[in-house]
Amino acid sequence: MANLRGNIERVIETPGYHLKAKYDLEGTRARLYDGQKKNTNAVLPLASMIDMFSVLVIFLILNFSATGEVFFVNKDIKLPEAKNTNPLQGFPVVSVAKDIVSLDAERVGENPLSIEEKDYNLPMLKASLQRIRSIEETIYPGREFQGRINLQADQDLAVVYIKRVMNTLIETGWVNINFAVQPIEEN
Amino acid sequence: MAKETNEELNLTPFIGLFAMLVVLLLLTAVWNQIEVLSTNAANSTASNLPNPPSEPEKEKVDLSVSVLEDKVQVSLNSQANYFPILDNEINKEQLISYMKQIKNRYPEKSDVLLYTDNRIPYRHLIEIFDLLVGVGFQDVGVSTQ
Repeated sequence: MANLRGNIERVIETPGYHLKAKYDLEGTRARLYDGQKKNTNAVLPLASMIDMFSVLVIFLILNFSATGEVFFVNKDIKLPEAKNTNPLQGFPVVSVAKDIVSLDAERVGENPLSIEEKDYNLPMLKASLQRIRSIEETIYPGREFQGRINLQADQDLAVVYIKRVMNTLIETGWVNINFAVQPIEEN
Repeated sequence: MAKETNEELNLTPFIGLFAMLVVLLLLTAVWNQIEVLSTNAANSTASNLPNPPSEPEKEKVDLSVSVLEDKVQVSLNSQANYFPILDNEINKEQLISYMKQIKNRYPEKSDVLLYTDNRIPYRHLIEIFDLLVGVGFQDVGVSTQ
């Protein structure tokens, strides 16, 4: 390094705070980093969140039912109301809407616009019910067939359509029929 | 100089607890409270049959309710009473008091056969069914004729 001494121009210089005299890097640096010196430790207000959770929990507890079965009501069906009801149990569900009859979400028949007195024929429903019955009898051999079924129907539907379904149910041995209703409080 | 006592409550465990509760309740919630009115078609068919001769001491009581378009007919041993349906609404008070009278007269009687006109709305069938169960007739048979 001896040859660098004296008037010989240095090749490597220590970087300073200036590119040139008029461009002051110190000022630029201060402008750049000034914002970061602020305190960024913001506190999230959690009290409102706790309030919201409390209300939600209270609402859900009030709606909680320990005995309820999951029961899918067809969107086209408005169930009738009743007071003296029994708890729902998980059996196959026959739905009678304004225009169709379905068994556990499977379309098994249609409601004609004007039904004849003797037109009680629902062959697809009959076949499906017999299939379910044979499955049940295979699963529980030796046990007497109970024939329990849930029936849901629209409250404004003419009774003849319900009778038609009930006839098919009884013919195939499903004699314990539970009419699904919307329970109302007794006054 | 007094110590600064403005200490904040640690809310994190509360949030954890509430979040778990909300998830649990949402998963187990039953939104549609559906219940049922039960009928046994086998029993209702059997109730049409005459009583067996082995029980002659019991008084035979034939009770049936027919829901028609404009009236409800209660038949007790071939004697009929009518209750009009006005503006598509059943007058329940009169019917309940009459059915209670029958129940008081025959406290052991629990089966009734319910007939319906084909054109009446399904809710009328359920209303009468519910009314009969409420009065004390637990075995309501629905006729499909």
